[in-house]
Amino acid sequence: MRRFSLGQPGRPLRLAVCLTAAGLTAALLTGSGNATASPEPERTTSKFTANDGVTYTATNHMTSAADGRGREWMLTWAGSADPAKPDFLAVVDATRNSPTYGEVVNTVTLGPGLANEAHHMQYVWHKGDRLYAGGLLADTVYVFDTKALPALKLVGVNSSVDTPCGTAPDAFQVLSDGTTYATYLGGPDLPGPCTYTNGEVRVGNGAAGSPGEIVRMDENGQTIAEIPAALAEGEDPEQCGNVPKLEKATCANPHGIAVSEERDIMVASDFVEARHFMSPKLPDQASLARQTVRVWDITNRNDPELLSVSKMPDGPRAAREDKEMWHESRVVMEPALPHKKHHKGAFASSMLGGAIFYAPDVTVPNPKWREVFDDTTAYRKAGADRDVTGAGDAGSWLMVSPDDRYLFHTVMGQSTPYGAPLDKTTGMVYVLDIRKLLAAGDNPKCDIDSIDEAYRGGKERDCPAVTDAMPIRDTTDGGPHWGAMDNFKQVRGGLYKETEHISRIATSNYFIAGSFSGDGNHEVCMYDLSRSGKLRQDTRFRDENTGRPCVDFDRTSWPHGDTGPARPHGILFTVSDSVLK
Amino acid sequence: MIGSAETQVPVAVPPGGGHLALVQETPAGGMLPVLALAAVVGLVGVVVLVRRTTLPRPYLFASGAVCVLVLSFVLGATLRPVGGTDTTAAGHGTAHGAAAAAERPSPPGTPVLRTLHLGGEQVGVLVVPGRPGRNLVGIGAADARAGTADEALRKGQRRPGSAQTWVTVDLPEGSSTLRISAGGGTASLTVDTGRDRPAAPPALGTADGPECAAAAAGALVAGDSGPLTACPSDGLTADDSAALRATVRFLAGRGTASLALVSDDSPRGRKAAAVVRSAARQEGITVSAPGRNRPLLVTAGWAGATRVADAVESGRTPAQGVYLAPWNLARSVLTPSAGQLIPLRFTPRTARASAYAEALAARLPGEYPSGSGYAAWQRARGEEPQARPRLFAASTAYVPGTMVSADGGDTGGGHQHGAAGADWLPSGMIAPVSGPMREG
Repeated sequence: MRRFSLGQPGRPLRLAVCLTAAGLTAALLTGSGNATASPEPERTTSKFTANDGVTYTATNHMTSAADGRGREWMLTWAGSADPAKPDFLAVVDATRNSPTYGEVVNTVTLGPGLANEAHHMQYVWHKGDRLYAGGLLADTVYVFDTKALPALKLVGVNSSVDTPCGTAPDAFQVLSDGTTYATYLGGPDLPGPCTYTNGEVRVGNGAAGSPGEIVRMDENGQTIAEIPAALAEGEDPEQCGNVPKLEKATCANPHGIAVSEERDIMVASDFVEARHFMSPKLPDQASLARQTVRVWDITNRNDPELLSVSKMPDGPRAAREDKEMWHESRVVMEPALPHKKHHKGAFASSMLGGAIFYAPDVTVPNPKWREVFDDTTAYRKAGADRDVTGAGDAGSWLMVSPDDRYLFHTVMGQSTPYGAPLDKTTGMVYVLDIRKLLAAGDNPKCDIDSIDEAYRGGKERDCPAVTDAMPIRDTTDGGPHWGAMDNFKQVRGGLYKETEHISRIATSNYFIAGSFSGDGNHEVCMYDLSRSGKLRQDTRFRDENTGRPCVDFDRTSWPHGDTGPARPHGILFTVSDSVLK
Repeated sequence: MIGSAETQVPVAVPPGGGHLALVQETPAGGMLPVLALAAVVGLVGVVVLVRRTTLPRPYLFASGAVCVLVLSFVLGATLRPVGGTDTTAAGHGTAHGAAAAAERPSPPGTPVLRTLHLGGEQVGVLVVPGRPGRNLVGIGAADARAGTADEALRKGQRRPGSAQTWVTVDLPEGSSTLRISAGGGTASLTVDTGRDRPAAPPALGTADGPECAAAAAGALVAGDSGPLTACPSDGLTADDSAALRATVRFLAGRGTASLALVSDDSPRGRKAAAVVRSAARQEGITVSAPGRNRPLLVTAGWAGATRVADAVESGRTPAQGVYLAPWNLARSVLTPSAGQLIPLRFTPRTARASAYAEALAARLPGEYPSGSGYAAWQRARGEEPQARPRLFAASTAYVPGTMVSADGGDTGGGHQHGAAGADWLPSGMIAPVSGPMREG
């Protein structure tokens, strides 16, 4: 036998065999699990053991884009579309001119609970505020310290056992002392009597039923006070349906909340008895669609006094609608308060009624609410066909700019239940100039009482004027539900400070899961606002993957992994503590 | 009790580590042609060198072994079966996709779980107990029919708690063909019922049949392919008995003076009713007819509990909340607006319990997860339920835009965005409202 020798003829062949063997070995080692690792996000986990005995976790997954000097961020509270994957807070770079503008720089995944139905955070964030994020269907509120933005630290959890008199936490208003008021849309944990912190008792029909309540929480999410929203004597049973029926009927299902600490006023609007509202099995759905706004005197922060419960009026469109559900007064989703102390009024908007209401003074026992704007007028401004109206248009986010100049409102679009084709009706965000209305003091003249005014705006000189209406086109069954004002401006030296003059707003396109006219395209979009109230989409705020304007939450990969599409609900502008004056 | 926070814990993640690490996978299949070519070239080279006797023995063995190994790997990967083989071509039914890949032939005389391609859809089919005689066939299609080869196909019907359409079919001993139609398509399924197997559990022929089938499915998707010898409603488990006692004690703690009770005639229902009455006596609670200020305790099965919840929702039966026995974690029971509460030894919306819901959705698309199915899943996997139950409130949130029928079906016109099928209660709340309850 000839011995192997590199000097022998056939060396190239032998070399080929050896190289092939080596290559194959390498390929085998890597071929079946060929993983090309991306740069790993930096992970930090914070934990909180709540009163239900559960240890909750929040894990940051910070990408390299989160590095560098502090800047402005958009927090987005998003639920995974896959109920087996974690919900999370996405931290998006919201810094104009940042090279990573629109990039998701951190996702904060929550555990162990899944399918929270990520819903709202507070309406506006100020320096030092903690972040309150509600899980609507988990009956749980997560509280985060924001000092280390873009990282978040879980510092508290208000679990379902902490609020026996209410369920389904919805909206939050953080007070100057760091505590917060939260609306709980649904009834008590257990059907039957429930005793509130002030000793009063109301009888409810159970979780996600009625009556809802207001909860005051401390900075760690611990319940300070459960505050009744229902009148002790009950309300009109014809107007206020409850399933199962309650001996004392109630419409108390608070959704949106607005607070003026200067005026010691809290306003909440009643939405629906969520449990089984619009179920095809219930013939009388309209009585579950609330029409009321509640006002409290909050001089005693832990024991507010319910000053008034007002039914919103129907307007001129009601006579044209077959179903009560689409009348102007139906499903009062959001209230909004002006900010200046001398402005004593409040606004409210209806989700299925497509109208905006105003009362010039809500500190009195009987506020005089009237319709001051119909979404139909905004649709004309947005260029929609004439037969697209406010009826069933799912009006949502409503906020007054800090300078009391503008009122912002998102509309998801006339819904499939209403019967409008999705390619014809569209969502929008619009801006109203409300200065004349507020300046009218206690005696505004504006009143939408003719069909012409519903289509063209109020004839009275003090009626709100549409400065702009931006269509947000999507043919999904949802639309732009929520929004946020950018209450910060950049000053010299890369620093920020809070401002009264809003020059940018954002919208999120999702409402609630498993629904049509409730889901959406899952995008978060940015709009510039001029001093004259004109909107222009900020097309530089682009998705890092698609390159198209708006951040798309229907994506495969996140900093925390390939968990797939998510549903963005609450959005909020924030700034790193280190650069915020 | 005040909650406690821990400080942030930085986690050093090694490259590629962590279960949620961002990793781009390249499937091995993409490398197969290259590997095959290289292996063939290598083998030819080895053979040539052998013939020329230019390669020393150690190198010869090493090179040859590597090439043979690679070729074996390539052949194995290429020839790996991707679908079930027990569907025949009598109709249009074939097993497809990942779900089918997970399917294994059922041992004779055991429940059968298959996915068929029917009318353009992947349709799950469950046959229980898979033994000679009367069988329950659950099909994941609304218009499903089923029957044996030599009989007319019978129309199925929905049953409370399940998304399946159920047909009762008598199967002979040994191997036979089950024909199924839905969505305009027809498929056949070979079922081997075996011989000399014990009789099917009687509960399969009662209103508790779907719950029993759910338990069988839970065990199957957990990997247990053993015969079905009992149904959940055949008896009252010690855990469930203790949970019922704990619920009565919880109500006593709320000052409840009287409660109403609805049960059924199943062995479990009778025993459960006795437990509730006994516990109520101990707590000084009277058991009375339903009333507006009285909680209603339900120890009936899915069908009875669904009727009760519907009656409370409609106002026909007055109640101050519907307190369900643990086995009633079933969608049709939880969707009526009745103020339902249920003691559970697990938290449905956690990764652990979701694993069952996901596995079920993969193998039986559209079927609802259930407490009884999860209990069987846990038993099959050797998982221990929590030591003490908590009381959970359950409700379905119907809000503007949400047009989902009472048991989760679409009422038409809309679509379900996302994987709602794998959720315990889409658009619904299942939240704990108590700490661990004292059983004692």
